[in-house]
Amino acid sequence: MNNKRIWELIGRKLAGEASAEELQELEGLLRASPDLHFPVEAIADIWKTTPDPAERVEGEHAHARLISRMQEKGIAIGLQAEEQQPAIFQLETRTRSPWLRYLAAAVMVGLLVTTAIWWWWPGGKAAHSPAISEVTTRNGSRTSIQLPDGSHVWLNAGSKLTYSKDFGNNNREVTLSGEAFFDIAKNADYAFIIHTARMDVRVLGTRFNLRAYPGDKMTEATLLQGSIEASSTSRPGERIILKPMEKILVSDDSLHTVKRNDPVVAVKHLTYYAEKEDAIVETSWMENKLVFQDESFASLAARMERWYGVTIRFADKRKEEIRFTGVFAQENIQQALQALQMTAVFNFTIHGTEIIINQ
Amino acid sequence: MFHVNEIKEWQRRIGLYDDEVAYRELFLHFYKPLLRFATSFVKSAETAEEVVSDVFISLWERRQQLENVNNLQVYLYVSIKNTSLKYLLKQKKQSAITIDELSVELASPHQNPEQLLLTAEMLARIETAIEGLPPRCKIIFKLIREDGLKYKEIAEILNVSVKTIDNQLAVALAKIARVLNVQLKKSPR
Repeated sequence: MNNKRIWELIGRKLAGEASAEELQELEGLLRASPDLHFPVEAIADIWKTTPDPAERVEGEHAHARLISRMQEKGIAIGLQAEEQQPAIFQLETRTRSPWLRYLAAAVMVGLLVTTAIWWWWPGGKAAHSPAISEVTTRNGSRTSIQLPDGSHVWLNAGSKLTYSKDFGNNNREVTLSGEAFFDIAKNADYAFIIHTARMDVRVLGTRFNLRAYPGDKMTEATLLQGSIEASSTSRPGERIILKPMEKILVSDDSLHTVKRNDPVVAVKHLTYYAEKEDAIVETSWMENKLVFQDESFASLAARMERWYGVTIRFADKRKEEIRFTGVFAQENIQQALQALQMTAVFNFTIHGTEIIINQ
Repeated sequence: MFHVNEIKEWQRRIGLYDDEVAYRELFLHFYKPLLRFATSFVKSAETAEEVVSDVFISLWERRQQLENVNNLQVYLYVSIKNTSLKYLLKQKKQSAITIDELSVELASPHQNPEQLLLTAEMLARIETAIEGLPPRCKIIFKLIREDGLKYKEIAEILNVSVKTIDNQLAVALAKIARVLNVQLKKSPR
């Protein structure tokens, strides 16, 4: 009698831990012990339990208690609860095509709203339906997506990335408004092309950051690896090839290459910035850091608005000219402003998400 | 397990994007199992909730380091264990608790007897048999069956060997089988 071994093997089988040999061994042992058939079958039958649905409700109440306990402790969480709805898919169609259906499942991240729009193209060669996928992040939230070709895109706050449904089939073109870091999968057949309002960027496979916020003075591409080719939309013939650790800036219609002076990040004023040699300002948002170097308060405020999901107004216009250098990582907006107050004279008031800089 | 990738994705999103939705999903996924696990140490529902909440608060506060956590599931269970022990120490009840002193609470099985081979009466007998298992045996049985943990994970969480897990699960199953066999002889069908 080797009952102990049998139960060990049955246990392993139920737990999903049994190897192929062990399963075989168990079969042999069970064949020799017909009296065990019923209990073994019955146990397998009751083994699987499904969680009681009431438990999720209990969990939701406990979650609400957790969040309010965290808020009591001064942890910034749950403040934008009304925005934390699941992904919303909006379907728009120009025809009554009956087959048009819900395009399922996209990953919902933070305050991201993903919109997938399918449209049937009427007329002519309408055999294929180009569809536009759009990923947007609101101010105060960031997200990452994987494109059908395997490329990764990290989207910073207040940004929008669009691409057609046949992306990856015979084109790799996307349009960006805002800021994103791209890790482009290699594909020698189709170049990856990013269109922005002022600049187009062509790549084969590389890692780089692209900042193209409407309203910003500059559009900027920072290359970490590989090579990219950039052209201003106003002069598409003129192409500039970038080498790693270079960045390109486009303002209005002029195209300049700017060599990065490394190391870019230097701390001059803020005491709680830990200096790190390989920290690159341009991609610091990927590490959840807002890095600024000799930046005017006006420009920094615009970035803080996106970063924290707030609006910042200058009651005293002279304050817009103050220049700051530093890093914010875990600070909330109030702590960030207090840190800035350590190096410059200004006051601020916070009303909900509205901040006024004065005096 | 199906959930493994989902847990990894939540972990990534919390660490990288301060994603409160992922944080909530993670909490809802683990709340009841962790609450039961904490209860088996601190033996009070109220304290157990505090333990779970402490663990999740510290997870949020250390979310920047979250990507360094190899197995979040194991991390959570171990944190629950350690935090529970801290509470026990604070209440000056005990400074340590052995696996044999745990009071293990099982989830209600939530099964539909009509879909099973067994009668409701037999099910009740099985539940009694499981309830009556010694703590060591019961917690291992529970973590495998209800919480879906792997042997290696349980070994790490409870500080026992995989061999012990093999043994204890075999003991539990043999006990249940005995109840079934007795029952089988009583009711010819």
